[in-house]
Amino acid sequence: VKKILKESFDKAKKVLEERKKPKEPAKPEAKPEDKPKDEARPPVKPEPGKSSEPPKPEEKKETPPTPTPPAAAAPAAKPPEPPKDPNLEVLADLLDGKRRALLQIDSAADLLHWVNAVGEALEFPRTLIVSRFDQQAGTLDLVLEQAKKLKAAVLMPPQLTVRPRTRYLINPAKIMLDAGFEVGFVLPADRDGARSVFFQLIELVRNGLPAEAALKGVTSVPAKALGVDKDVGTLEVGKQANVLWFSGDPLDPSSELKAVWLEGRDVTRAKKEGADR
Amino acid sequence: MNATAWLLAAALLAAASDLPAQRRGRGQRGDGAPSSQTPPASAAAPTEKHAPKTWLAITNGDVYLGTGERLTGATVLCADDKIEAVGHNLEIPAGAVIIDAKGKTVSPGFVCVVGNGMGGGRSSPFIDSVNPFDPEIKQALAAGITAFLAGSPGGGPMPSGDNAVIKLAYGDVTGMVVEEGAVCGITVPMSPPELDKLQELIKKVKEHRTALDEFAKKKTADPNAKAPEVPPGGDKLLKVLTGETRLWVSLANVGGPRRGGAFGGGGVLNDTEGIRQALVVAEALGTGVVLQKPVSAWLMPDAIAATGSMVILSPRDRVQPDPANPDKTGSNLASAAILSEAGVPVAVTCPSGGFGGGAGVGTGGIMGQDLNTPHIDAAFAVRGGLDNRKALRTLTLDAAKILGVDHRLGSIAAGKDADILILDGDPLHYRTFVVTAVVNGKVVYEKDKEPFYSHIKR
Repeated sequence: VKKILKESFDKAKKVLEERKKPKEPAKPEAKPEDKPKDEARPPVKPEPGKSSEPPKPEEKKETPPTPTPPAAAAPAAKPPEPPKDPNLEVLADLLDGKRRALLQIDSAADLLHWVNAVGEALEFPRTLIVSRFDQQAGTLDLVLEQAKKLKAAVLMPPQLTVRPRTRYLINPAKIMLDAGFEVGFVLPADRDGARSVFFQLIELVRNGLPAEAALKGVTSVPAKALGVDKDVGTLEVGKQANVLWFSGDPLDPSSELKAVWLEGRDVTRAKKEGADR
Repeated sequence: MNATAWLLAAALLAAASDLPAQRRGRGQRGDGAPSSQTPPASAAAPTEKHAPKTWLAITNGDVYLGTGERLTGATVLCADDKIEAVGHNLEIPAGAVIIDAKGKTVSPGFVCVVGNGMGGGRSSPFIDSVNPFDPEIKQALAAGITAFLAGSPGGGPMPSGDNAVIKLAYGDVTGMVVEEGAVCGITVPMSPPELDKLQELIKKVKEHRTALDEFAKKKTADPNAKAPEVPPGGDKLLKVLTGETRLWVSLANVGGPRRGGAFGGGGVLNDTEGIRQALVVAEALGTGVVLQKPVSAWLMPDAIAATGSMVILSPRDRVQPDPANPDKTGSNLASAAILSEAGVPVAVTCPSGGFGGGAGVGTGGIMGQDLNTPHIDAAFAVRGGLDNRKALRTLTLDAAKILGVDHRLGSIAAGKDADILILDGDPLHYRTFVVTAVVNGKVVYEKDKEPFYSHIKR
């Protein structure tokens, strides 16, 4: 697995080098090239293929004629030669900084394996995702120094965990925050889980996480991590009107969620249905 | 006389002047360290080529070298992940981390020829699946284990197996795998046609080797010469012949978790037939094989020694003799001593767990039957008459030999891996605990800082 990973990144580096080459001899070509790139930009999550594929054939068609118009036959033979691997294109986009990767690294062991496979030098926009705390393979706080080198925000479950084989509670969110990481939270996607989010945040705050950081962890940090911070994540002029209205401090257990506004519309079901729940 | 010879001579002197420590009881360690000894010049003087980043010196300890010798009040100097020198009056480089082991013993880390869990991964490539933060690693280190064979040694009529020698380098993902595919295994007794088939293959692989040698010559004359192809199914045997891999022989019906076996029932009464077949294979190969927990090896030590074969034993395993033929059946507590006397390298493992799984450290399982106390398993060999000094070899150098990694592990000698234990008594005494464990030159376990035995004070 490590070998494949390393080879894929090495190949992607070559793809990136190839992409950068034609720009220098043919400057006018750069403009049409830029356009597709911008189009490719909005889907920030690496959705393999589709977004990056269409621009490529255009590039190819337009680049060869300019450098050597007379020997058009030779460049024309080129395009079929390297059929583009959509997966490599995505990786190349990543290395080019046009995409952001969500790097799921659940444990300290995984992190060391990742560094061992691709090396420390490889840089690209990324966010670390910890989907669960794995005591059997170590939590990330065991490898803080190596994790820092990845220069990424961390999204993790909004929970406390324990040291392996003990009942000694630790607060990974606080440890990572204190170490200088931006910390966000992976929220449970099911209904019951979603309802418990605030109680989980409260517990983290009770165990030393600043309240401010807890709220950032479910708003601006994940928005930034997913590359949608232009539109959501904070209450700012020009952003989407996604607003929660609480009767008090959101982290006060007695606070009530009065209303939910999504893209400027009040979607609070209780109000609409007149339910008295 | 070169430096190594000096070291050896000094070691022998020290060994001769010391009684087997276990008999002397604890805390009475001789202060009669022969101070007249010439300090063995550090066997490998630091060269200019590699400038070690870190130095670790374990000083004043009674150093068991793992070869059967010991140096009293000596220093072990480690440069990065290797042992730089061992001896008296060594010059310790500035900036070295110094651990004073006065009143303590120093031993090579124990090498377990069987293992499971401990972050080792289950299948190749092990480098991709080792878990350097497995909590069992700390527990294994507390037991003195610094390396073990993970995965399955294999078995069946043809060599098979998927395994690796794993080192318990806590937190170091690249330092854990010592060797992938260290051993491969067959099972005996096999049917005559199966044995014929195996011998046929051995013959073919041997021919292939000579063809390879000839090819090397041919190629210089004719660069287009075709390289000979390995006979089908012969890959593993080829490695056995070249010495890259050890051939382990599983004795069917023996070994494996025989719950009754350890307590006086079950198991076969006599496995001489299987052992004989294994020796036939060893002779055909021309290299020794490794017998896995033979019951009857004590009946034929010289035949085993003659083939250069080695033996893995669990000295505590019991197989009752056949009352009709008590002298030629059943297990023998003296097995290890008898085999060792004949010159057969013996490694010791625990009673529980078959090869390729089962035996491990942990808080579950049958108390005392697992890898939590390898030193006690070796002590049972001492009880059976094995020399105390030799007995440590069953967990160190001879165990490493049986895994084919003795060039790196198993003894404290210049150039070997810095996998070292500091213990609070004789390594094989039941009361002894590991105080500090060093793997790859790094301290990876300290008794006082881990929950396992920190509460036990004397």
